[in-house]
Amino acid sequence: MKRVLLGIFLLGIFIATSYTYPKVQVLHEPSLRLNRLPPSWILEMMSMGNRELLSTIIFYHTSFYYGEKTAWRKEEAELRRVYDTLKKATDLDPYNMDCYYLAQGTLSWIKPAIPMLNELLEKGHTYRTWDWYLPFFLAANYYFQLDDPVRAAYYLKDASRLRPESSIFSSLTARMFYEGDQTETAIAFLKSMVLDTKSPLLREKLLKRLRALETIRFLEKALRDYHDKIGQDPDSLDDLIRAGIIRSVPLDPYGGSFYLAEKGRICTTSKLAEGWRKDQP
Amino acid sequence: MHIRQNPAFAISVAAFIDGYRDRLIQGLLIVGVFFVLSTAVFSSFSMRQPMEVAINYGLSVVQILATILTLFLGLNLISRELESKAGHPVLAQPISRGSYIIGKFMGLLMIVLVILIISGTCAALGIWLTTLALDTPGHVSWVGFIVALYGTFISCAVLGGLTVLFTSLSTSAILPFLLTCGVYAIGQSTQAAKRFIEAELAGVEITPLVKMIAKGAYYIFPNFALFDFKVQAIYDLPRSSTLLGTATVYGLTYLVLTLFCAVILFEKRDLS
Repeated sequence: MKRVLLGIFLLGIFIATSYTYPKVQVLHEPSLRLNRLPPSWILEMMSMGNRELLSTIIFYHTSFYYGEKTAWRKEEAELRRVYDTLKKATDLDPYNMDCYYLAQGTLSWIKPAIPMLNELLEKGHTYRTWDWYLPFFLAANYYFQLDDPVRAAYYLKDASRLRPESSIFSSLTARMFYEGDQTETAIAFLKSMVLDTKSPLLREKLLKRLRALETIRFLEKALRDYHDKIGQDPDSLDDLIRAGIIRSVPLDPYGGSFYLAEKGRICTTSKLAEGWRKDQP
Repeated sequence: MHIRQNPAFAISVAAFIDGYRDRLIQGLLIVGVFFVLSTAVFSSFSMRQPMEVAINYGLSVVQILATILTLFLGLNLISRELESKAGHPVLAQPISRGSYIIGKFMGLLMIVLVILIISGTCAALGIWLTTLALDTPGHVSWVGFIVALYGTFISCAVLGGLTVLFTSLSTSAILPFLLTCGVYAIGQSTQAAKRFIEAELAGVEITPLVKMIAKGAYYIFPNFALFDFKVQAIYDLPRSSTLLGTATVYGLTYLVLTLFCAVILFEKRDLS
């Protein structure tokens, strides 16, 4: 009887403690820390043949740490630690996509962090040769953060090669080449994509972009002819008509109007985008 | 089968039954089953590759479990029997000490094989459950999975050979345990150490003596990293049959050499 009573008493204490301790723990638990990890080669030795598992555990720890930081302070030292941890996790398992994904999510909006982030993504791109996400992330970083549309275009070209069923990559690649003043490269790329594409819908989209870029190339040549003939750059595309170099300004396949922008660039109000009118006021 | 007809076989069957009856196996197997069935939970924290994490988790748990069991069972099989003098009646029979050692090792290998089959099946079940939990489960390379288990089996066989070698040396169980753990840790690290030294990183100066020791360790100690085919299974990477063949030949050669030394040492050992 005494034993039964003692058992019930202990069970009662256990249930009461189980119910209370999470609340007490939340109040007194120290926040997660992202400690400095030993060098990668030591981590590899410590893993005892389970490098991939250790890499996943390091990633989980980093991801929980990041998730807990709702008031993320964006301090350089803290970001450097996130980067270092993810870098070491990818040293252990260079195929670990979670690490690259988290790195892109945490560091891509901080301009000074972009070069080291790109270095990390490059590593992933070297190993995960089948993955279109990595060249896509690299392209986004080069385009939006480093203002390098040509470099971005080369990565997008890789992404479109890995994901040929998507029209977005092919047309974006061409657009970035064009923005990097590489219209010829953009046209050559689109022509090769049109030849390789089996989907009629995708082919139609690519042909539309190809027509737009060929028109831009035509106008760029007209600008050079104007310069050779008159000896100076035109102020607008109408000057080309007045000089007798073109009969009229060609139509933009996307429905916009071509115009002469700064530094003699041919631009269009559609920005070579489908449904651009929806954005207009 | 009569002991005189095939003593090594009879000892191996006895060792297998003895090992199976050991509660350590049942206990660790329950832990292993629990871990492997938690695959879906562990992989659910992954952002982009839950399937890969599930395979990684399953194979790693199987490897850890099989390694621990090989180590403890291998040490128990001979050390405990000789310490308690329970093995003396067997050795008093007209059988060679070599047959005794080989028989014990074969029994251990059978237990390891059973453990790998059970835990491997649990891991496969865990991976399969994860595929059910996901909307778009990725491809699982079952051939790669089996190859990785095979690599773990060779690794455990070599480790088992080492435990038998070290138990032939000492009367106590502690020294063989420490020696086996040490050799296993070195064998798991030599490849990483050699790669680190050969990389010649800027700012890291390594003395010629350290280089020589690291290279020596790489060739003397078993290279357990060679038997690791987990990454190919996890990411469905191309498998090299040459590498697999090389790892098998290397593992078998190392194992035979280890057992050969164990038999010689055990024959010279004074058991009185």
